[in-house]
Amino acid sequence: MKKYSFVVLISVMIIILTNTPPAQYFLLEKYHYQNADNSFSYSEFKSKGLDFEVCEIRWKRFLDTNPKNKNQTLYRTFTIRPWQFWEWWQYLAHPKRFTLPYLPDR
Amino acid sequence: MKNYFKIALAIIITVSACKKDHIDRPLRGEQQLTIAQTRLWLEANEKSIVKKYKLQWEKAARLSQSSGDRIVMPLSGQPTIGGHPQGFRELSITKSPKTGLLQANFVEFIPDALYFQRKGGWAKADFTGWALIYDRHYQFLSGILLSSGRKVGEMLPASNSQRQQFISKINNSTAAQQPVAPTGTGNIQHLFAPVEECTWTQSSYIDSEGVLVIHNQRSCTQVSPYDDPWTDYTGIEVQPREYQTGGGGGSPTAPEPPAPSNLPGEDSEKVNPKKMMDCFAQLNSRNAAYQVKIMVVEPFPGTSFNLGPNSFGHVAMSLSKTAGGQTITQTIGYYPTGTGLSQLHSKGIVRDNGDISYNVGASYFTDEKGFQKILDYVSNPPLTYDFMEFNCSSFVYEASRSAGLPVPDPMTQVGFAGPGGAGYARTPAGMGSALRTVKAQNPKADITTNPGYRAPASKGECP
Repeated sequence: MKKYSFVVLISVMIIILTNTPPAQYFLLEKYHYQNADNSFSYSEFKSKGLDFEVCEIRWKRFLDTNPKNKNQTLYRTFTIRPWQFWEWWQYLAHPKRFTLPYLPDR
Repeated sequence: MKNYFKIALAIIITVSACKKDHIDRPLRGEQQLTIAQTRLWLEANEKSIVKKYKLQWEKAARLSQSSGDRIVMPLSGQPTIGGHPQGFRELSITKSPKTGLLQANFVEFIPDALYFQRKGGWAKADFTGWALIYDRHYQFLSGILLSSGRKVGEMLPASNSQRQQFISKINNSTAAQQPVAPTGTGNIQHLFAPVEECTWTQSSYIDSEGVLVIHNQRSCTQVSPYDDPWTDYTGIEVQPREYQTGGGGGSPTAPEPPAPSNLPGEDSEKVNPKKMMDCFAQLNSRNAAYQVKIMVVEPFPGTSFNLGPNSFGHVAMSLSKTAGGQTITQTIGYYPTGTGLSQLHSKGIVRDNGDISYNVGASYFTDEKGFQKILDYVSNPPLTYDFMEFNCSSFVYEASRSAGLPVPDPMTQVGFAGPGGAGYARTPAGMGSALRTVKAQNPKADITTNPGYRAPASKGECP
């Protein structure tokens, strides 16, 4: 029982550490977004100011300034990989990006 | 009569049987090479090459070299270095310097990534990179290392034992210990083993056939006064055709230019800082106002910690020019490339930092001359990002100081004091802390220290 608790504790610590800075700086994927024809594209670098919120602001501005552009859907080009435990916090705290439709990155 | 007829018939048959098709006879000596002749020779004598590679004869070209004509034809496929395709390859037909007979070689050119991207192409006069020569069976023969158009080294095939040792070294090392193949993402010397004198080292890359090529490489820091930089030790000359991105250079028969390969970590979000800075020229400089704003994302807002909820933090700068009731603003920051630990020391790029949220900001006004100095600095950013030596804070600080702006030095202690001493680096925490100190000493300074601000949007690149 003690051994089991120890393993669980260590696992939880690893998960927590890998979901917080500075590990996130090195582990976190630079989530990429674009519309269908790539006339809009954005890559996150959350540790350095370029987060999903900036993407939303720029996407809205793009839609406002390009009303005739037919590609009005924002896609994510990254897949959801639940086994990458270092991203679990992103799924919990910032789920909106993962609800975007998926477009394979060409 | 019958006998005469029989004899004549026998002679005719004998001569016909012995007669060789002129196509099979190799072209010799003084005969000039033409594409048509080369094609005939290749299709008759190198059927395996013709069969395997989709030869586009309409893209073939004849190059005049000091050692004789060379017929070249671009081939699909690229060599791979550092996990990324770079360079291009071609089929090359020349006359052997020893026998005078035609011979087919494969040549792979790998321009140094930084040289290629900085120049937007390559030229014989200042080519920097590798030229690797293979025989007709795609066996590596030799290579030439060039720097600024001059030969600085050469490559030879590694022996079997050397190959085994090299492969064993790769297989037995951890990911962090694996030898770093030249990537071109850092100092140009990464392409050539930095040594004080000419010495042999082992290197490798993946050729366009997907084969790992391990070779011995001799490179020198002292540029050797080779008369002919494009000739290998066997005498094969392989001058490349010139190429300029944007379709400006090369002959009409120049090959389809290979797309500039993305460097490791480079993504589509990097901007051309020069094109961004060129936008300011759209406004008349007469009576214009020039503002520089420094924006800090503190790692742990309100503290001088170098690490916090915002990771290591970030420093960006916003440049604004106002004239005639119009304002152009460009907000930029300096970033590493790559992923994981490679970000600590990698190629540095400028990215659009419009709309980012920051918590400490400082505004400065300057004149046209000072503003132009900043534009010049930003237009030609340092090539290498280093986590300690030159990062986003250093970039903004140096750019601002080039104009003489009184931006405080963000140098701060990093790590713990102890054996060996603590390290020092310019950091976002250092910039935030320094600006807070200035504000405390001079409450009238145009410095904001509250969270929730957003950087102005950038105009973007101008054509």
